[in-house]
Amino acid sequence: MIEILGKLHPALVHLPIGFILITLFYEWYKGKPSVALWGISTLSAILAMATGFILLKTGYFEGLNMFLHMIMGVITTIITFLLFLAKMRDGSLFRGQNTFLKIALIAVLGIGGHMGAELTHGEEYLPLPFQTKSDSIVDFSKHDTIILYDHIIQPILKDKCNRCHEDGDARGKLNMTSKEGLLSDKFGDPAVKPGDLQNSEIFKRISLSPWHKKYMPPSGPDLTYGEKRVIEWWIRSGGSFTENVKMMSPPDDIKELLFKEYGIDFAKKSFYEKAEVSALDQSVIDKIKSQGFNIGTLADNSNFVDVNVKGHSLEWTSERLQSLLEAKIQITWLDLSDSDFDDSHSDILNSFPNITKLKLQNTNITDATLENIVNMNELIVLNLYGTNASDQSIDNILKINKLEKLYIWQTKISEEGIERLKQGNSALEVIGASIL
Amino acid sequence: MCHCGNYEKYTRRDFLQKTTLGLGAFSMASLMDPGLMARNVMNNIENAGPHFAPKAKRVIYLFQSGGPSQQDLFDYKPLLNKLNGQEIPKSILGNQRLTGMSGGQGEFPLAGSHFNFKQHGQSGAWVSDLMPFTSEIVDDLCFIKSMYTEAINHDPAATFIQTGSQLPGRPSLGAWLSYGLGSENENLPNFVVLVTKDKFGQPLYKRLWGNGFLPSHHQGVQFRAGKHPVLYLHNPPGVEDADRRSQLDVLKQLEEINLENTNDPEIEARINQYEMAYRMQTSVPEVMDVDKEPDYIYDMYGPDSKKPGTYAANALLARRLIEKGVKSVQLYHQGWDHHGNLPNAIKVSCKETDQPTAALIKDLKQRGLLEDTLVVWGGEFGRTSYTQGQLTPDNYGRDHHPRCFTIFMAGAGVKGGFTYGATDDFGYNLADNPMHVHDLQATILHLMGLNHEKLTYKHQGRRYRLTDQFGVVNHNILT
Repeated sequence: MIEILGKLHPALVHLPIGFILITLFYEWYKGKPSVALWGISTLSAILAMATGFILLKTGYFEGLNMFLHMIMGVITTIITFLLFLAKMRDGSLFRGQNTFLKIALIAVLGIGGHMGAELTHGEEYLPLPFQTKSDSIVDFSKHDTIILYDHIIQPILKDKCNRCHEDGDARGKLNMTSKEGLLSDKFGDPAVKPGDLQNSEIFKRISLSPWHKKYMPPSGPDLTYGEKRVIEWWIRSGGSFTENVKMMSPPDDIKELLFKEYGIDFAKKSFYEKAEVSALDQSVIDKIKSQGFNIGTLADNSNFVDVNVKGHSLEWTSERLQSLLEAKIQITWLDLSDSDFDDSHSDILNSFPNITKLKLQNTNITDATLENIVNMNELIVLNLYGTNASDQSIDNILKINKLEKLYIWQTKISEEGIERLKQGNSALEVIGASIL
Repeated sequence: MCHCGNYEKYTRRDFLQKTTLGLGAFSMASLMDPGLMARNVMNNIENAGPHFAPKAKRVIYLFQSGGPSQQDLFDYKPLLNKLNGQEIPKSILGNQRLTGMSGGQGEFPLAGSHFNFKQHGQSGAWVSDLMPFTSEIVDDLCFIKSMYTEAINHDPAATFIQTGSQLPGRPSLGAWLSYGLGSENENLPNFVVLVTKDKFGQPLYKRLWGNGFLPSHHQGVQFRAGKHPVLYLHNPPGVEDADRRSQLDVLKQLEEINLENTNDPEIEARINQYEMAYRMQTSVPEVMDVDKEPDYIYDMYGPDSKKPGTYAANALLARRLIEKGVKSVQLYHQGWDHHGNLPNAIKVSCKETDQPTAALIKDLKQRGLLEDTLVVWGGEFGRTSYTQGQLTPDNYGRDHHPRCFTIFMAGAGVKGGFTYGATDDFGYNLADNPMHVHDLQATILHLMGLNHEKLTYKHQGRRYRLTDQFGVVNHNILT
């Protein structure tokens, strides 16, 4: 019964706030105090304080913010009472401290009220311009170390739970900012019981019907379906606080979800998807374009570029080729196919360390050009179809360790050459040998 | 005065949104995040992709219009032969919607395929002897046997698989790709359509390759067989090239005045199209000039490949367009709608398409183009396991069946020699790993480096996607 009085606290606190402000305004406006108003203010403050203590007794509120809110409430009541006494005595008491007390009262009332609002509505209830809002959308597509707890679970908890379950304000005596808090079973079932979904309080609460009184979070945005699934998977898979997502093997639907929501891709990644290079200046891009190239970044999240000559001149000048040098680090796909490119210009190929796909098909190159590609350590695909490459290039091709695909249709590479290639690099797929 | 509602830089909605929210809130928001205002004004950003590194840079979609019968081509169902002539069990038929053409039949006898199936390649994929050439390349193909769609008739089903909606008005796949990725070869359209000529069957409407509400330069451009591949592209007699150029220059000046006054992006599109048409006067004859193709290439694509306008000739052209950097090439071949007389009619369709399809994939492969080109083969839905009309020892027909059908893909980023999904033993229901049309669209966009949920266009107050609000990328079929 008495607990119901505690629940009235959030409503009753508005009484002293209103009365005290009215009382102060009346005194300023009229130039003289009203003892009756001060009396009502004091009474309402005591009422609010008393119900506050009852609410505190229920034990659902804990932490620093709670404690400070309580102190502010008590000080408000005391100051109001002191001022009430002073006015009763016709101003003889605290004459010198009158102004100071009133200012202090406004301050304590404001701060205490604000803290109370934070407790009920959450810390972000009042969007102030200086508050920084964390950006919860993280793109993990370029990372290989993604700690499931630190990088995925903790941000969800921070976003959806820590408003009420944190160091400063651990409601239900649950602090969800730390491993210890999540695992603690001091007050019944722990929030997280590794491997045991049914006895993990956190999962039970977030998967209830939203109308259930124990559903979490009771206010503010709910956890999304994806967030619930990730938490479920985390607990089910052992609730580790240190495991790297990339080293785990989630079921397909979780993989899909991690990919969609966090950009975590479990597929094997190419060099150009993992490595990072600096962005090209727009002026460089414009310059290369003006020389008759198509150039564009591979993707939004990549600074690597793809260069080709489709729809442009087929003729080569050294000036045209030299323009590519300013992007030598960024070029990873280079397509010079179906043009008049030949050995005389091929020196330049030495300068591009990050090329992964090189297309030289239907150009006039011979073995001499292939001398210049042996340093392309990242080369995966090499297209030589329709060129004069011959068996003499086999040794050079075999120097490219990472090469996976080689196109040799309509070249002078012989059956023996293909055999040597396959022996030299068992991972190499040679495509286009006379018969398909 | 143009009354079309989409040319203003600021729309009525923008105005109301900004003023009713309060100028204070607006200026506050833009103070805190200066990018916000710019983003609000520029809702639709051309060529925003790729969102991630693409596996495929180009796509060739071989659309088999009419709905090829999966039970006679790829989805081997020996049970149908065993139960040939018996009524399809009620439990299999279920409550599925049937068309008015066969729904009123008194009985639904199962029809076993008249064609022999064999396993091919290292992957052991089942292909019937209707497709001797395709069966040679199964190790490069990724079969999806569990495709399903929502529409039961040709037009909505084709519109659905090509534009993501059964109702007309949405941009087609190729248009979305052009909008999202831009063009690689500015002398040719980004999206070219080749329709097999002199074929009859279900009509093909331009909306299948239309731009919908996207700017009109993203629409597919149909190349025709014959003297004028692109209609009205050539100079009329008596007009010299220089005349045409100066005429276009003056026209451009006039258009630019108009553009300044109205800000209508369609004017910009029009200017660009005139310029492209001018460049195409040389580039199109060049790409259409197949005379220099060697004989062994013609042999590969088959006897039809020398006859302009056939599927074989179009397949060869598709390769030539892809070589030039065209982003999407879409072939359409009518005549797969075999309601009756299926055993004879399907032979014709297969003879026309099997060899060229296989040749195209082989040709792309030997040139290294399959590396970054995606090939998709398929129709708008499947066909029923029961016969439509009379089942006789040497004849049967099959009705439309949206519940399951087979397509295949090849090339960039998809697993070769792989089969995904399965139908039940009757070939009538999905048994394993269903793949919806929207999933296919999402997966194609994914291969092209686009996130189907991010590739949006704001039109009439809301953002649209190719996949509407659906679709999941099928990572199982990706390498």
